[in-house]
Amino acid sequence: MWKVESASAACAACSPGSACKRAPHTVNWYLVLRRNSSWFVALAASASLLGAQSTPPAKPASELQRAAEEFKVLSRDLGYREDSPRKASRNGASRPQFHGRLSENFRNDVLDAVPHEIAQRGGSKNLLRRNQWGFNVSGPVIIPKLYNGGRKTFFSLSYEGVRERIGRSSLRTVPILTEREGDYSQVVDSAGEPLEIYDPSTTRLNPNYDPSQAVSRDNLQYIKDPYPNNRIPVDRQDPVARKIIAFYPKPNADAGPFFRNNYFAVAPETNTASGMIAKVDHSFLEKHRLAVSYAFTNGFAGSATFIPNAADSAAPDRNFTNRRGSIEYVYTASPQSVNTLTLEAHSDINENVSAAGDWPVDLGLRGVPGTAFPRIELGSYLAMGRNSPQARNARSAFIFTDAHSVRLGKHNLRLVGQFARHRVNTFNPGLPSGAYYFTPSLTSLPGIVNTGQNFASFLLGGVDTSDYSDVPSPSYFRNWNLITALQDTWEYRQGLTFSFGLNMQTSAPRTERYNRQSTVDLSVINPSNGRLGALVFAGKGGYGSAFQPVAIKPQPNFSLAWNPRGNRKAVLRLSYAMSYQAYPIYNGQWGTRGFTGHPNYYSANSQLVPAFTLSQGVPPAPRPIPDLTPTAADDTNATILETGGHLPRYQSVGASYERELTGGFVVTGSLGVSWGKDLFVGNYAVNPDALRPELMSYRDQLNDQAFNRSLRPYPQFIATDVFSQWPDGRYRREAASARVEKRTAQGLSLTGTYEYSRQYDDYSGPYGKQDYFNRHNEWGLTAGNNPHRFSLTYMYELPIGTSKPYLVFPDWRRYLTDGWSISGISSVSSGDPISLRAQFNNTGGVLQTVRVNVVPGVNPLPANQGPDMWFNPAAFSHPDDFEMGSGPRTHPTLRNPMTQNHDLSVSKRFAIDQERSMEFTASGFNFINNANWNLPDTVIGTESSPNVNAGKIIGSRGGRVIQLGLRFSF
Amino acid sequence: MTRRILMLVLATLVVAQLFANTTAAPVARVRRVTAWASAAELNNLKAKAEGKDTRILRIKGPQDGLILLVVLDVTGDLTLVDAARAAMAAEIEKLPANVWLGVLRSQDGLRVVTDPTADRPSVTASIQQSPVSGRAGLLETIEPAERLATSLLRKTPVRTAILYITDSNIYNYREDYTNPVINMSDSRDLSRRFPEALIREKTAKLSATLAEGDVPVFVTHLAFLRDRLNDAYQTGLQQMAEATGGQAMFCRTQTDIAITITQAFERIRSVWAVDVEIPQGTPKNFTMHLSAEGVDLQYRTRFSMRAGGKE
Repeated sequence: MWKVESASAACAACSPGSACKRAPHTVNWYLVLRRNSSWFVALAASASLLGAQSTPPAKPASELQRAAEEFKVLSRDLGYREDSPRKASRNGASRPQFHGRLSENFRNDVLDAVPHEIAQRGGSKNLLRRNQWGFNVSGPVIIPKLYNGGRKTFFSLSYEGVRERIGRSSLRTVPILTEREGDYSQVVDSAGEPLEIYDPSTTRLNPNYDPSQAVSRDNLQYIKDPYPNNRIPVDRQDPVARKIIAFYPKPNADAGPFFRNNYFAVAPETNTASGMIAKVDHSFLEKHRLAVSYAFTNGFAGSATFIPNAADSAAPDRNFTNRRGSIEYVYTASPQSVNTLTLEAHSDINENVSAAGDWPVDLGLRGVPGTAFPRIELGSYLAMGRNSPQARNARSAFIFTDAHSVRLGKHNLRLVGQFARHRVNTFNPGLPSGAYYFTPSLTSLPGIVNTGQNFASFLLGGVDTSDYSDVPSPSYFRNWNLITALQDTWEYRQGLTFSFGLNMQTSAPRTERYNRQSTVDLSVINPSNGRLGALVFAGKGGYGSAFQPVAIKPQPNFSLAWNPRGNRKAVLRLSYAMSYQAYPIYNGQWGTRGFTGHPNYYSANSQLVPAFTLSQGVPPAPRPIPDLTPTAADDTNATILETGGHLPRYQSVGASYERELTGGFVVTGSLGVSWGKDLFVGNYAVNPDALRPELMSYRDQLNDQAFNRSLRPYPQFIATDVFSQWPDGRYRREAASARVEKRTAQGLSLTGTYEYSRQYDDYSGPYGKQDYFNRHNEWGLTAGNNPHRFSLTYMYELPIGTSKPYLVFPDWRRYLTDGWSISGISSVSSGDPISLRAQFNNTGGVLQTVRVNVVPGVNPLPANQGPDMWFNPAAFSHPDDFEMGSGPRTHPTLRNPMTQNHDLSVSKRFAIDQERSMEFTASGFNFINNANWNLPDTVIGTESSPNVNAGKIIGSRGGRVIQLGLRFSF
Repeated sequence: MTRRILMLVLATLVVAQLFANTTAAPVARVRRVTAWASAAELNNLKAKAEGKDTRILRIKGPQDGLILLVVLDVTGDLTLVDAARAAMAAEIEKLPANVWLGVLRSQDGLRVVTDPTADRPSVTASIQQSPVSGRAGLLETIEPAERLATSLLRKTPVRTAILYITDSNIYNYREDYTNPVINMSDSRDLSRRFPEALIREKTAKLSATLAEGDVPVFVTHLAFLRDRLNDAYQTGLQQMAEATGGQAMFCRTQTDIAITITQAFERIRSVWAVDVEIPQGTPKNFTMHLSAEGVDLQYRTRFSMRAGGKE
């Protein structure tokens, strides 16, 4: 049934209320008919008029009405209405549109600069072969004859593959050729003086020793004879050590000083990975949306080797598998109420797959269960053997989240509930064939520093300490946390908004599926000696499946945003927030002692006798596993969990002022302070079994292991291990920053940021705490704190070519000038604080590290700072034996060299048609081929044996890498 | 040899001819120039396209009818959307009678919610009742919206403008513009050092297409975001809007929303529409110059025409 809906007439050129300026001209006539609910223009006629100035001006309403009618017709024809006979696709096209891209990124060392660290060692190239390719396709889900997703169901599928080999270089120290044979006649100390090697088999008491005086060369407690000509006879060398040496590389460089940095290892690291991401998004009944996604990656990561044989000590090769899946359901109950339900699951499996053999047997090393090459630690020399050569860690998490947003008056409330369950299934015998630590002590003159040497002790097979892992089965760890949060955003008045929130975090500690976990409880009496500290087991003796309480922590936050005087070009923001870290769940089988074995072997006095020799083999484990007795951790490095339920707490306050300036510039200034307590720290910062520093007054007696242990709070243990899980750290950070942004319609976006910050803590640094009992004395600049940081990011569509102001060509030349753009990132950062360390630690094991003394009146900063003298070592001195250093943990003014990096990408787009294009990209990483200095040598030697390299920098690193990329988009 | 050279020359000529066909407008056509003036009247208005005088066919000013198509692209934070709804309701009440509003939605493709009408309450109700859900849709719908509005102005003389109200975030699109890391283990994936490439490419293509339209697109973005990808996205929004003679405005705080929407409405209400006849032979991409006696003019300067002369 047709009926006339409207008819109109208008002069197409006239302004309302004004005389018509044109004559003759056209008047368009429209007659709009409607049939059922469909609109059609049935008639469009035009007529020429003369003398139009006499025609009354058209009224806007009629023009508008006619336009509205036209709108209905057009939108119907284009498929944008519910009553359209055919629906447009999501992008307005008449048929389904699939979009996507194919891409290839390519790197090859032919394109690159030779890295500075390679060139400095005389190399001319560094291997780099990398191909990274992939595709993405997305569009409506269409199953022929079954389902047409149209505008409702949409998919996206991406794939990427990587095949890479990249050279990695490392400058290390190995024994010189004569040293390998036991000839120490050419080996020198850090001052270049001959290094004395003493024969432990000649050790005897000094009848003239005066116990009232400190041990010195003039008052030795024990006497040892030096090897004749400083050579260890071959027949005195350990046969197992000799077999191991066959796998040890020989020097191939001479960076120095004094034979140090004499091994330059260059080897390829491999990365083979393939992954996909698939997503389906479906909208239904207007108010519902369902999104499902799944992603996976499979691959292999091969480490760059330091030693090109089974003795390699690099990280193990590994296979990896990552899976991610999520389902998100969004329900819009009303325009003022939205509910989002999300279920996520992910798993990451890492499997160390370094080649094994039967190395302990082949080397003649008895008493260990593993088959991998044993780990040999030689102090500053390159180590041998891998940690965790064969291991498997599977982490997974299931996270369920429901968020509800609702508007109530001027308040917007958001309620969130999230439950997360984490699992770690792990099998990680870290040292299956054992680790063997060799120190200078055995070949030293007892009590005299700068005598003896790690490798000499190794040649004798004299193990200082040793341990190995005996892990019969995997562990299956679990924990969960629950978050309930309420956030209220309150628009108090125009230009002033407050936001308040309270988040309750409930965190459950770790459990094990079969209750196979344990810890030392420091409040339980150990039956072996009647002292506090005994091993307890989950689910036994009144202990639950976890050792810590479920922690419920309130996490408030507050913020406001204010436009001063209602000026929208200026915003002041203030904020405060407090949060707690949840109980972590970590890889590895720490905390399973008794179910797993970890025998430790210590020398009774490392200056006199070894724990054992390599040819003797590892003594039998004193306690076969499983051993679920309170004494199972005795005479081991006992694992201790803090059970008080303390969790790291972080707080921050901030203020910022943002101002929009003329020319499209936006400037922001910010001030912020953040601080935290009870941060998780490790053995470098906490030791429940530590000796108080004043006990160093016992001096050389402390080298006697039995005496030393008798002084400790928990003498039944050799040591304690808290595995980075002890809540004891504190920090404070103060920062001021300025940011300038510029964004223009010409395609320029530029952001520059400068930040000045100071951060202090009582735990960080490469060497750890000197004094566990004086937190104040450990408070210092955070290692890694870069006070000045500047970064610049920019993107610019070059102003040439079509639709741009310059080089606009109508002919073929536009193919050359169209579609150019550049992007860049530059960063410059000042160096972090220098941490200085005394070369020798003759404190009887009381201090884990010894800081240096500060020499008063000597400026640590040289007049001409450079790689030859980055700092003045004369400003520092080595503390005497059995004394702490007086200097700070990190130096307050000395900084490592600044670093800078500049990356640039240039791309050229070739438009094929409206939808399809080809983009070529050339990216230069460190494109100016800048070299950043390496770090200076921060070890300060004694007056008699100074480290001549202290304060000096050896070499620099970095080099330009070019990547070429091609992407076809459709 | 000579034959080969001849063949090569012939092929070159054919290719050159093919290019030539796509680079110049063979017939005269009408384009609308969006402008703002410092005065209430434009006296002795003159226009030049690519330096050549062009005929002005029609001038429509702030007193003439205006069809404003409001496209809602809101999927995220209710707080911001509610602030925008309230601000729009207030602005709609203030609009003069010569402005009619239509409401469209960009989720799951462009859809008409309310046809252009003078009925303010119904428009306000449509905006208030529009759900805050789905995926961001601006990038998929801006070109269809421009096409629809340009088709409308080709058929009717009224001023026409598009206003996007969006809280879109580049991570919330169904189509992947973020170039996500697929192989999480690939620590040396420098291809993502410049992750904005996909967004830049998309917005550059759209800008080129939108430059062929004549309806100014205004974008009010409710949630200014600072990360690198959204920075590129928001720069792209600005480029796209200004390619049409419109403007993109970003709210840096919730309290910014009302002020920004007020500014957007004021800008749209005061727009001038000048229809000019583009002379034959004008290149596909050309610049426009307007001048009027004693008046400071802001106007769209760069235009692009569809290949083949079909407007």
